[in-house]
Amino acid sequence: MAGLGRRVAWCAAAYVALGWLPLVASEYHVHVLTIALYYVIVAIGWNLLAGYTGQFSLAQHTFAGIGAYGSALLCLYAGVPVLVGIAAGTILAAAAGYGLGTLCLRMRAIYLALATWAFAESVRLLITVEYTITRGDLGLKTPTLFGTPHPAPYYYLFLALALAALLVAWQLVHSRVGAYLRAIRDDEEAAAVMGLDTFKWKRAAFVISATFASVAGGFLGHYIGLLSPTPMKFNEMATIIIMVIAGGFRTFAGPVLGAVVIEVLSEALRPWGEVRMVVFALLVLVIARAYPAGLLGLCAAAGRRLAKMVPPLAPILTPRRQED
Amino acid sequence: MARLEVDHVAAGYVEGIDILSDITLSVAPGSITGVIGPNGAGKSTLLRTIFGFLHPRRGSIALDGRPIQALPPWEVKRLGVSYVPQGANIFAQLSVEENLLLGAWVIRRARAQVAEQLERAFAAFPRLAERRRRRATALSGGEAKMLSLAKELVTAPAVLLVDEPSAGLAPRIVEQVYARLRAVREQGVTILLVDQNINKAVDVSDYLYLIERGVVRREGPRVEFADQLRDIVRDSLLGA
Amino acid sequence: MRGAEAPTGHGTAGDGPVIETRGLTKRFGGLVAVDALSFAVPAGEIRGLIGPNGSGKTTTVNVLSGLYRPDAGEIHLCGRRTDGLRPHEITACGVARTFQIPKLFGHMTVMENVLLPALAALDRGVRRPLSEVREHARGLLEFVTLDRMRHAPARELSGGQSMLVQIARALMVDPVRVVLMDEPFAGVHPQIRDVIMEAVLRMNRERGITFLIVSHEMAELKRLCQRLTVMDEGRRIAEGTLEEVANDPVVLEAYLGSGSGRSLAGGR
Repeated sequence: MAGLGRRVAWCAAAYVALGWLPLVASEYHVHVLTIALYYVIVAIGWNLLAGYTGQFSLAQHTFAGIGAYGSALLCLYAGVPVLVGIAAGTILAAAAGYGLGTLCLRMRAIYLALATWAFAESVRLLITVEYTITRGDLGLKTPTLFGTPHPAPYYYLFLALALAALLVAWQLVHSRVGAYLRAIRDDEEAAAVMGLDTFKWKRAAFVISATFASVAGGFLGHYIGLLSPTPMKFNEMATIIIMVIAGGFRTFAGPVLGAVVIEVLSEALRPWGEVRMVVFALLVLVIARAYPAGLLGLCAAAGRRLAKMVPPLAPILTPRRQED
Repeated sequence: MARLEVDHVAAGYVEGIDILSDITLSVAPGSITGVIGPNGAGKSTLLRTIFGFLHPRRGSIALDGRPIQALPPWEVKRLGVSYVPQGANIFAQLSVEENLLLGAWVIRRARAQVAEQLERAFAAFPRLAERRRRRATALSGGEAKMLSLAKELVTAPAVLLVDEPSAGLAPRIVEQVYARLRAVREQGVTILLVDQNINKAVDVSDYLYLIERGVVRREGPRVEFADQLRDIVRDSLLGA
Repeated sequence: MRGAEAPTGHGTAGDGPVIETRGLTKRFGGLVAVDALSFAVPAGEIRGLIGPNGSGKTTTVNVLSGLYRPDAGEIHLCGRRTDGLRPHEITACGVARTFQIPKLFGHMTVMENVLLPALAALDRGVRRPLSEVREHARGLLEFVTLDRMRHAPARELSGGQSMLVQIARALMVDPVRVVLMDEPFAGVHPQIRDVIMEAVLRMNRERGITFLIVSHEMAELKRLCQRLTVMDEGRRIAEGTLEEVANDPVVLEAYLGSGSGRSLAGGR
């Protein structure tokens, strides 16, 4: 557990190090980075389900939406405080994740993708159609958490959430649970006969990834202040997939890198409109074909080359090999 | 001269592991030669090596005196050797006729010959003629096996390699398949067949080889094998 | 050593057999792969399961280890009724298995593969100190002569090496009382075959582990097995020592080919 203390310290240091940004950057940039941090959390959650456990779900954005709408509706109709709403939205999403995970237990690859996609579309349509409750495409106003239009406090909030998400994911991945998930991904039958309750952990992966998404979605809803079913379209899921694959599928830091790079790029290319999606799709094709390790792989390779040129920096630049 | 000669052949799929260690056999023209042996002995590997899916690590293979061990499968087929793999080896989504046309791929340029061969195939296999335009998925197990056989006969081969003709088929169909092989032999085709069903193999073959662990343990005409079958199996089980 | 039992071929734990099926049946569509199979293996025995192609041997092992649910009949493993249980529950009773085509966790190292059963046991509340577990794993890897490869990614191993890792991994199940092996020698280098046989004999001798081995390799089975169970068309047709079985006319008839060719799709 000493390792945990060290990691918490690293997170605190990172928080301080990145905390200067709102002081020097424009509000627009701070906003973009806040959104990027939202995607970091969602992407990490999805990578746990798809990259580590091998369940390629197409409903991650839906859980973010459930977190957002669940919280907003509760605040609006039951008058609960925002944090209670977010907690409730998360519980709702986790339960939905449990249900969806159970449905998908015996499904493989394409069938699991189709089933989760059907779930995603059904929820989106439900929200759109029940506009008397959800205001559908007209938009649902939500109470904001900090009551200010400035992004700075939200930046600090999401920075804390993202670092917490990283910490939790790290603990998970490097614990026995991480080994369980990877074993299930590599060979589910072999994992089962070696004594692993594969159903339990496949469901757990769904619940965990849904929780990541819904916490992020809940807080995002109370930042933006206006919800609509538009971010629950498949476009959003495609963005998440692109982020994780471009960053480095199945790696730990890949989703982080991918989320930040793709979000920043997406904003920078905003004048291009829908062509952006084409650009990203091409990026994914190129990476999948030529460099499956993704951007993280590229960085690792660059780090190794740099380490050769500057030997003293080697311990920092090259990834540590796992020893007994 | 033998139609097919296999001389001290060794072969395998993985570096360092020989499935066939030292196989020598010779197939007389116009005969049915049977290869029997326990699982893992190398029977299927032998046929695949002759047909060119695998190249021998040692030794040589000759067709009518001509060496073929270094040739790829389509060359071997063009020279007159056809290979019928285990199971129903057909293109399920294509029609019966299309299957036969694909069987004639290596001689496809000789259109007249192909057309004639197709008609001969339909004449020989009336059930397939009835279904000529239908998709192969509509065929029963036995009909599918007949199609996979007919498909390999459209090049009018001199030699037919048959791998486990009885595998996965009901007894009645197995009888039909073997009757068909006898008929094919009557037309002058030389057959080398491999079968786990020792009774059937001995029944239909003129000459037999017993392969175990990659080498020929025993060979001889049918009469020599027919009343020693039980001993052969017992010795094989006892690992003698 | 943990869980040590009488180091002979006769075993002591409990009176009953450690593997027992009664009327076990498994169908795949119209094909009856296992047909009212009844047999038993007493504790501490090394039993061979043989039979012509398509006789239902692999299906039997798959049903015993819980990958398939039986359509009828009973299974008793280590004294517990296990038909209908999920694979990990059967493993918890002390049953481990290896697969004909090695199913390793490709993206993990050899060591991580071998450690998995111990990690999975933690989920059941079986706590062992990590250092002890690691030592045990290294010991098993040394036992199968692969200790120097423990950090290699599993997918880089050859077929024979993968089989050895499977065996070490299976022996890591705790407690392991029964090991089911499906064609452990198929396509395996002769040197590695020797290692496998040594491992089986030692584990049986020193820890009283019961083995059920499906194989065609009669030379290996002759060295290993006290008795053989012979299957044909899903049924048990004979049982006994190799000499008894090899001289049984029913067995010889089955191998000669009854002419009823089974579909290979249902497994051997």
